[in-house]
Amino acid sequence: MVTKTLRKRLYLIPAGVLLSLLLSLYLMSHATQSSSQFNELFSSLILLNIIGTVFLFALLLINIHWLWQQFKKQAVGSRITLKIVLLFFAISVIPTSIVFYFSSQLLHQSVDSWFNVQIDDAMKNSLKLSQRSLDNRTRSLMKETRQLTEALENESDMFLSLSLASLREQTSASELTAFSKQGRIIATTNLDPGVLIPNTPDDAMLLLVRQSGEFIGIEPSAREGLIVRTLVEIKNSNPKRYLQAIYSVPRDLGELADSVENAYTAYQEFNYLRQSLKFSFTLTLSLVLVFSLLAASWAAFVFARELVEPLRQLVKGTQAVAQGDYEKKLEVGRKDELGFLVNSFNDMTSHISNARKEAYNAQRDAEDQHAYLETVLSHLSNGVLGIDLSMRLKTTNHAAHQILELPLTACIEYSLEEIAVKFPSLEGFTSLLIEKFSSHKKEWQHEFAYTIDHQKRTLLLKGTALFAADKTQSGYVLIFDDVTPIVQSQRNAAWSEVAQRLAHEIKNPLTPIQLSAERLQRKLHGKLDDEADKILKKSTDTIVQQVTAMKSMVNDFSDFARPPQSKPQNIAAGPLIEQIATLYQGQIKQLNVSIEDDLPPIFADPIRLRQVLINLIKNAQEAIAGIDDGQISISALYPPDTGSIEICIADNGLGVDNSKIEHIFEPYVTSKEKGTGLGLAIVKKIIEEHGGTITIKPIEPQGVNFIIHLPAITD
Amino acid sequence: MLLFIRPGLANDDANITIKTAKLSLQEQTYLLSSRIDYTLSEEALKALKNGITLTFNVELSIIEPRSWLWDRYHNSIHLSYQIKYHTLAQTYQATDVKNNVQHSFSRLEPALHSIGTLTEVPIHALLKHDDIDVYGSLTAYLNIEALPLPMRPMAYITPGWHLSSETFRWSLKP
Repeated sequence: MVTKTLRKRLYLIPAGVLLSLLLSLYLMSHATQSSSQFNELFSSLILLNIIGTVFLFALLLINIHWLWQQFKKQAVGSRITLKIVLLFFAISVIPTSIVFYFSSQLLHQSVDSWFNVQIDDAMKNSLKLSQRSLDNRTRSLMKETRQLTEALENESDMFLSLSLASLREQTSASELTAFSKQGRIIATTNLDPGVLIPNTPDDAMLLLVRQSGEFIGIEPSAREGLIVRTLVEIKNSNPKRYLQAIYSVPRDLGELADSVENAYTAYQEFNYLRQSLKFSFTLTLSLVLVFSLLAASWAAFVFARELVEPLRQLVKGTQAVAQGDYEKKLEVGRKDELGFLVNSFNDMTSHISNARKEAYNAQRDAEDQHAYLETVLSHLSNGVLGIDLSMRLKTTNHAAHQILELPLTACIEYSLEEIAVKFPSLEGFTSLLIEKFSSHKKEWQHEFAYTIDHQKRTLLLKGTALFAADKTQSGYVLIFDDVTPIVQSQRNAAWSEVAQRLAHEIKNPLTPIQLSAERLQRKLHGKLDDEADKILKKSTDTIVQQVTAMKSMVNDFSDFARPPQSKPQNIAAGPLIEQIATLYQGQIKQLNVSIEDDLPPIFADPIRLRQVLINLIKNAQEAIAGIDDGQISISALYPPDTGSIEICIADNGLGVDNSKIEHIFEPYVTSKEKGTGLGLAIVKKIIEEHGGTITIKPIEPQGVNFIIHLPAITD
Repeated sequence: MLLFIRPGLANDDANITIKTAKLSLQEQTYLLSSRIDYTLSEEALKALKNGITLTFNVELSIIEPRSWLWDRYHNSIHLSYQIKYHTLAQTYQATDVKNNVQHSFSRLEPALHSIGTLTEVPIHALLKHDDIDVYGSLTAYLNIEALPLPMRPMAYITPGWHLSSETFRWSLKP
């Protein structure tokens, strides 16, 4: 606002200069009249006008330079400014030039028309006429003076004064003066007694009279109008004397002669000033022309700037909007159509800005929602898959990757068929999804058995249709979870219940059976014949043996169902493994033991862990029985960054049928002819009680490897 | 601007030269005596012959020179003299404008000599400056502003019209 006011004030300077120059031009034109009071100011006014012209010209040059700079920069509005300036200039230059040309021509012709040969001749002739008329007069006066000198011949200087006085009274001379040869006044007399100093001739006159003896001349006099001065040598005077007689020209004749003289002089002066007059008028006209052009050009720049400024602002505004600045507001300094346009622009940017803010807020809300969902999804223990209507995978989460143990994030935008091709293990999974989602049920649930790395897993799948805000279906969502531990624990609980009942129901009658058999043997020993006694002994022994075996089996069941209380402590796994391996050194031909140094301690019950290791080694020992080059390898190591020690017990025996590997740790699953099938189930249970895992991996061409991971104490 | 266009003399002869100047004191009044030679340029002569009155100004100043400041002007007096050609009488009229004294001469040179000879011209406006060292300064020039108005613009840019003398300075110390 301040800048705008300042700019307006700056415009006042040239406007003031222009008005001053116009005023000075008016004064100049007024000054050309000879009677004007501004006559003396004429030169100053010209100087002022020239300075003003230079100022306006400099202003114009500055403006042109500014326009050129704008044009070079391809600035907004430079072209329209140029057009306006050229238009203004053209509009002003044509009429002013025409007026200037015709005014100049008219002026020159008018000035020339004042002078012509006839007037010139008339003026000269009138002057000659006057001179002739005066000549006649002067000749008679000369004759009169000569006569006076004759009267003064042989007069001494002493009597000259008296003689002159008497002679003046006899003639029409107003003054008589006698001079010496050097011009010294000898005697003088005047009609006016108050005039003491005579009108003396100049040196030239004296010289002429000395040379020719006579001089006659007409002179203007301040007091008497025209006077006639006659100088005649006084003859027979010794030393040489001269008489000067001054006569006044009669008043009527003098006035006429003055009139002619004044008119001729004025005409002559006017004629002489002809070119100067033309020059002065042309100069004034030129200044008017230059002022008009400069003023028009300057006004064109002012007008163009005023016109272009809102356009420039609008362009800047649109550029700012294009660059994303929707807060741009333009100043409205006008109330015309351009001001209305600027107002409209401001309204538009205001609306855009509000809409953008709303969109931004909505986007931010969506992003927040997305981030929230991402966070929830990534931290969900359930696997989540988002699938579109064309059965393409759109989203997945980390849990899905963990559960399926497959990098599904690399399959985004893959169709389910393509995923099945890429990961064949998922073929059943994807087929199920296609089938379920294609059935167009809003929600469905399915338990899916899935084998990963020879481990049987149970997945609980929940599918639902996904709807957009407009209630149209946009895809499907699958939520699944690995329920294997739950299923396993349910199964274990069931088996524990069975084992406990078996132990309870079977163990109770076994003791009376055994005692009864032993009592029969003891009571009947020696009372029967030998044959019968042998049969009795054999039968009772068999009963006792079988009962003992059954007790052992029932104890196993009891252990599985209700294991003894664990007493974990910090132990070094390496020495424990070595100690147990030593027990089997003599029994196994090829027993390789490899235990890494500096194994970290583990928190475990040594008795229970010993039970695990012995169980597994016995298993391996039984597997290699009957094989010539059977061997068992026991190793213990601490893989970096796992936080657990790894114990492997591998054999190259006939091992386990691959079809049974998935169920090997389940109760009553065994490949041996003898055995309860609870050994590996108990092993797994003990390891899991210690927070570890046990897996089995087949070895090519034959054999299996049991891998135990137990948490290490690293602190 | 006038200084820029101020040229040299139109020809070697056209010039105004102050030969002598002095101020004498008589009964508390200063009397100026000076001898100034006026030589006219062709332009001035032509104008004179065509009835233009030429006005010469003689500017007398009393100056006190100062070491650290510009000179101080105590008094400044203008004397004006005119030369005019009378066509009918074919004489040159020399006029002392201030005293309204007019003389006619048959030739130009005596007329110029007449206006160039200042003999004990009383300068009543001058004050006595006994206590300080002052200088008299005399300049004579053709007054262009006294020319007819149409002539002035051309006169300012025509060298022949720039007739002026060098400043003649002399000490007034007795």
